[in-house]
Amino acid sequence: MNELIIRYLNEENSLAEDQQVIDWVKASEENAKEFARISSLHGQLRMELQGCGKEVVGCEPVETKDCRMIRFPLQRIGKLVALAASVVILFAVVLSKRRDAPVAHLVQTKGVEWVGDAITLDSYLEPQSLQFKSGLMRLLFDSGVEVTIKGPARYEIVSGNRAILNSGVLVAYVPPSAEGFTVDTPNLEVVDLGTSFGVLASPGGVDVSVFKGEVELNSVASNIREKLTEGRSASMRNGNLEVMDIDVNPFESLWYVASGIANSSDNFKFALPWTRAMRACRDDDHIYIFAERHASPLESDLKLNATQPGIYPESTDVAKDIVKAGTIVRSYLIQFNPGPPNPDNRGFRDIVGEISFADPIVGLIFRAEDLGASDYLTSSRTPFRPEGRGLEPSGGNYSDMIEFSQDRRTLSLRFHERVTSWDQVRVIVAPRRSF
Amino acid sequence: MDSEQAVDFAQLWTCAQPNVFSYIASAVRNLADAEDVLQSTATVAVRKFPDYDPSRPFIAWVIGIARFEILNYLRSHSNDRHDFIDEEFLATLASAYEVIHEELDARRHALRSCLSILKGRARQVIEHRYLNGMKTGAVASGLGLSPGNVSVILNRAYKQLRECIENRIATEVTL
Repeated sequence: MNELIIRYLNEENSLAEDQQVIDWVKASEENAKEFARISSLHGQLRMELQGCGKEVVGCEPVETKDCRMIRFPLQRIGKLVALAASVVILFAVVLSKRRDAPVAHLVQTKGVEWVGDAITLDSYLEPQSLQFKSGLMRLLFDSGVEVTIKGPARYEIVSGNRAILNSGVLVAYVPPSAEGFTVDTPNLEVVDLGTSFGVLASPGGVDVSVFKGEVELNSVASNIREKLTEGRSASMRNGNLEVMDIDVNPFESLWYVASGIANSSDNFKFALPWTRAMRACRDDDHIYIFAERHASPLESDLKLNATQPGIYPESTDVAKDIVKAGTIVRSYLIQFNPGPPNPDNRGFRDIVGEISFADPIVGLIFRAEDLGASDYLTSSRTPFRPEGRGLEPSGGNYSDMIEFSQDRRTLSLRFHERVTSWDQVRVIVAPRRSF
Repeated sequence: MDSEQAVDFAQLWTCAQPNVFSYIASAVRNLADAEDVLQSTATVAVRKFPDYDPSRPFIAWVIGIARFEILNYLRSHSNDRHDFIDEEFLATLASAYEVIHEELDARRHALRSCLSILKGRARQVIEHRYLNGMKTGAVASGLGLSPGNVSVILNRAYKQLRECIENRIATEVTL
């Protein structure tokens, strides 16, 4: 078994042999101790040869050398640790350049009032603390993780896959490739398991809600380790964790920015991601916007009805432009679906609105058949009914109209809809992925 | 964390760090990645230290944090070699490290003296593997040896070191 363990440590075993080692360790306490004796040599050699193994007498270090094993979060404990470092010389560290490399871009801000020096939009941020009194900001990590934070907040980027929310509210979207992204709070650690979730950290405790997928909640101090699944919330107060049905209220105000929407007229309503009943998103006075898939590559070619700024729809609009399979896009669905007929709407309803996106619009899909062909982009879990969708040119003052702005960010909309149908426009956006 | 706690933490961490790293490196076998996990463990430990109950062994507390950090790492670096390292394995190993951490400290002290017995190719191979963090194949390419040859040299070096460590511990106990 000794040789198998050594080969395990050097990753030279077959998978079956590795499994044999793991099973042997789990079989008995004595086996585990023997494994620890052998495997500890692996770590100790690294430390000793790097100069991190100090001469220790009764655990009091009496010698120092530079060691690049550990970089303590000095900004967090500042002078206090500096004091400790002077007492215990082992805190001498060499800061690894790799670990200090930037890991996230500040891609969107809305009314942010900073504490201290302002950080400019588009900055590429190293691990650091961000503190602001009010407003909203969105960070895009290199891993694809998107985090939107609402002030007042103290947030700390620790690395590309870990952050600390000391206070404030955030919502995070974590793509499958970045599973394991962790948000730490003063008394609870939230580990993503492939999901979208929200965290509220306040002096009173921590609240977590899962919009999609699941997270793991950990607290070493309170001996808590629990999975929280989609549609559930958890509240941590005084070391006790209570799980309940989802509470979306703390996170609603973040969702526009979290979804990459820069602005909209007041009559837009956001269909929150846990509102999956599309038919419930209907009334006479609001246009709904659904954030569909996050930035991800298209499975197949996508037909677009409009790709250039201008006024639509026109009678000649057909699916003529194509976004190739593999292109990374983000999509949204705009919907106006008036309520049931009543004496006020008399079977028809008109509405105008405007919406701006943080990223440039690649194109629009508004013909019923092309909407149907692109429905695989949707976040809805129920299929759309095929009839009565899309926009049709009818001419005159009561036709549907979209104005696609020259800067490719804004859509001005006028919908004229029978109460038995629904106007829909799918908006395809080029998400900011790399700089 | 006040200044007194910072000093306490520094001293406790000083004692625990080698065993915490060895524990992490038992599951995260890429040594550079194991250092990243050690880094995140230290970050969490510093932040949570005000909640640490001094009546509990520090090593158990901090290895508990390391266990979570390893699981986070394994989730975000899922592959065939990681997928079967499960919570039960990590928990069993954590208990073993907690129980024999003083013995492991003694072995580490002995290793410091024993390193000097490695000469020539054995020393070169060990340094490439552990100082530079190279895998066996890369060590072989660097030294113009076959991977099999490097494995044999590594195994002999481990054996020499283990025998030296055990002799030294036995001698100290006898004295």
